[in-house]
Amino acid sequence: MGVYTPNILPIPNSIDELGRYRGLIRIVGESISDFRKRILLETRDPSGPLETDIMRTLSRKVGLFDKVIFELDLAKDVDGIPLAPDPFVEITSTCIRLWSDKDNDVLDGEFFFKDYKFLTDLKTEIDLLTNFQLIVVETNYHYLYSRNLMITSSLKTVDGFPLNSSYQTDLKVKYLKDFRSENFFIFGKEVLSISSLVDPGDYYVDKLNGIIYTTEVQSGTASFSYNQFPMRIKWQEIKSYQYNEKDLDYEIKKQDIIETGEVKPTVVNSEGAFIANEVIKAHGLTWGR
Amino acid sequence: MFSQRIANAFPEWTKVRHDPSSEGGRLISSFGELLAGEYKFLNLLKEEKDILRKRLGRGQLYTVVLDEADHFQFNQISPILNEVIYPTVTGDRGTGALTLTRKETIEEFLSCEPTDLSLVETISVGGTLVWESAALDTYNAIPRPERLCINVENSTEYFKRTKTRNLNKTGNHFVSIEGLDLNDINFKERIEINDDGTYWTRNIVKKLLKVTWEGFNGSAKIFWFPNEKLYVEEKGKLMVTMDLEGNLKWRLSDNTLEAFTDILKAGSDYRKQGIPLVENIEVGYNITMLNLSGNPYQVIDFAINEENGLFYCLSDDQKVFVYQITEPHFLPLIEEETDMTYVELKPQSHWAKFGGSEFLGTSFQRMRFPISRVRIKRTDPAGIIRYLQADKTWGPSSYWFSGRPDKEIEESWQDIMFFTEYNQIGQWEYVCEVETTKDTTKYVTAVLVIGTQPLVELVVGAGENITFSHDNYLVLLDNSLNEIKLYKEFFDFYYANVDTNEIILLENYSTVTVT
Repeated sequence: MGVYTPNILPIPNSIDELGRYRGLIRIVGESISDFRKRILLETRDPSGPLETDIMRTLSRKVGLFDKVIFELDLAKDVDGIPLAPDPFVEITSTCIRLWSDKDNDVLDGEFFFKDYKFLTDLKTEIDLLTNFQLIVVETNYHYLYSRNLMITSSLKTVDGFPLNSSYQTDLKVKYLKDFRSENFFIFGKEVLSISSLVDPGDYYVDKLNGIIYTTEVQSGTASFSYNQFPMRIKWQEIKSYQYNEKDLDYEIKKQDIIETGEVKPTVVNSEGAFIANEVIKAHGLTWGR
Repeated sequence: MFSQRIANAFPEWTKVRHDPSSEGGRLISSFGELLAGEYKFLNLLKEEKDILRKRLGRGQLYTVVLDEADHFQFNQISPILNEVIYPTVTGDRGTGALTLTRKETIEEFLSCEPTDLSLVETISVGGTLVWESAALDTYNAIPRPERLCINVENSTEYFKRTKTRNLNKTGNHFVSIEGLDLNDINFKERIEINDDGTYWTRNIVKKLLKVTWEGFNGSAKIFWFPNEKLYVEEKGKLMVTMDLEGNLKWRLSDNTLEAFTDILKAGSDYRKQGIPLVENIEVGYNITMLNLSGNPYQVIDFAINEENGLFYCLSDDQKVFVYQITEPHFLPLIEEETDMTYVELKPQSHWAKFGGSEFLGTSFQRMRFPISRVRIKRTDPAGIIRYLQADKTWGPSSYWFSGRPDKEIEESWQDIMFFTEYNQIGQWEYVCEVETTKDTTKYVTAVLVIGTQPLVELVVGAGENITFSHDNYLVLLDNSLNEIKLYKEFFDFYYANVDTNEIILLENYSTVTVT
């Protein structure tokens, strides 16, 4: 009589071929359903060689999935107009910052992850802000580390958006920040309201609703940036960030008092040196160039 | 019902075309079954490159390489023939040692039925409706990402755009959805709606954001759990009758599973304003679902597992019975038909519903000689013989219906109609014996009352509806507690690879003991 422990025997599945088209290989022990989910993710949200792509897509390479934890929306008045005049939110490697008026540098909140270790603590603070509303998407968020929140910001850009052959185009986004078009005959002078559209070349940008109005029939394309609210905040199983990110300086560099009396980061401290050594150990060739 | 496709190649007046119980019909059915298997296989093959297909297949097995002491032994039956002595294999997946059953072939092993269920998760839910056309702006939450089920009902018109009609319509019939998929990525999908019925999204939806629909005036409802399913379509299978063929669909009807298809495929062909709606369903046959003891039970819902093609029926006493439904076959007939027959027997259908009462009728097909008398005999599945009596009831004593041999041939016999109550499952055989002025002939046919016993009986919790999730859990909906229960299936079988002295398993047991 023998007592044995079974070994896994991976068997080929046509899903594997679909995965290879996307550069994904099924991990031993990974279920077909999870592998399919990864392939679907790679198909609809492909990774790439850019730094932002790497930061965004690292988890899926090892069979893990990022989660949408919260949705951050703007608090609005009774007419549905956001209370914040120029909202902007960024998440870095070390903190989350929320501005109600970015142009005038009105910072509503700056929360460092080292101070708010778990998401439950972070949520408590953000809930106190009057210009923002935090909506919970993933109910089991409480004791996830805040530092694993994906680096992102609310600002998005769109290039080459086709304009309607009409006097108005709905850009299908809200909270426009900037709008540019190279067609100066149509977009010559920006006016402040629809009623001010008088002369040829006048145009009005409804920044709240994302609609462009002109006196001439529009054509061509346009580029614009906007703040995407509600902003989806993702939590990553594996988070990556730039080693040179300024926000990290206080963690990985010595804070010295320089000649002017200011405190400035100078050389790497022991934490920074440790990270540098680990990077060199793994891939020394590109270091020091 | 692929056999009927072959039979339809014969002329309409031939018995092989309209009588599946005939010798020709039974011969064809063996080819039909092979063809049906190939057709389904080809359909599954087409889907292999589809990332969003329902059938995922297996990604891994588990193997145990036997030590020399446990290598397979042989028993010499004859000088040239050895018989393998298979060991007893038990596996422990945390619930104690289970004896595993051996599967003879790798095909049986990979497509076997489950042996056990284990409750994985219970989720509280508020309801199963995500959106309906009566409340356009209301989108309800989806508790876990799933494919959505769209029911379109009560349409009286499908707007067909012509040169003169419905000029303000596009002529398209669809439901279009926008939402977040299981990876929280926005997607759009358009589902073509040919006719009222049940449709499924390809995408696995986490959140529904927008629905637009066009082309019909009925109501559309979108569910994340199909507790109001109108029918279940069995993919890759056709229903073929003498006159038409279409996708095979199943629904519950009087405690049986009813196989049917649509007569007209497009709603725009018959759902028109001012024209009364007609019944658009062609019923194939009904299957009475039996429990392991061979008795019928109350079926409250059913689902088809896309992974293995098996039918799962939920009873009202917290059990799920698993069936393999194949094309129904007639058994060889007891009586032998004569080479020449004059009067045929035409049943309402060659597949009757258990407990139903259906008619048969004589049909004086070949008028050769005047008919003197006719006797109708019936043998039920238990072997009891009965004869049709004068009052059209069935009795043990023989009775001959008189013909009129003194009249012209066509006036010598008046066709009759009679009923049988099908109170037994199995094959009912009918014989029509005809005596003419010249000879005696016998026409034989059969009616099948189909019942099927399950492969296995599984115990679940309380619930009223079942389905399968996108990741192949068996999902049970309990309306009274507003919760769903997800069950994982276990397959406690093994396959013995004698050549390599390995035991192949479907489950990951913590230990396997080979004796």
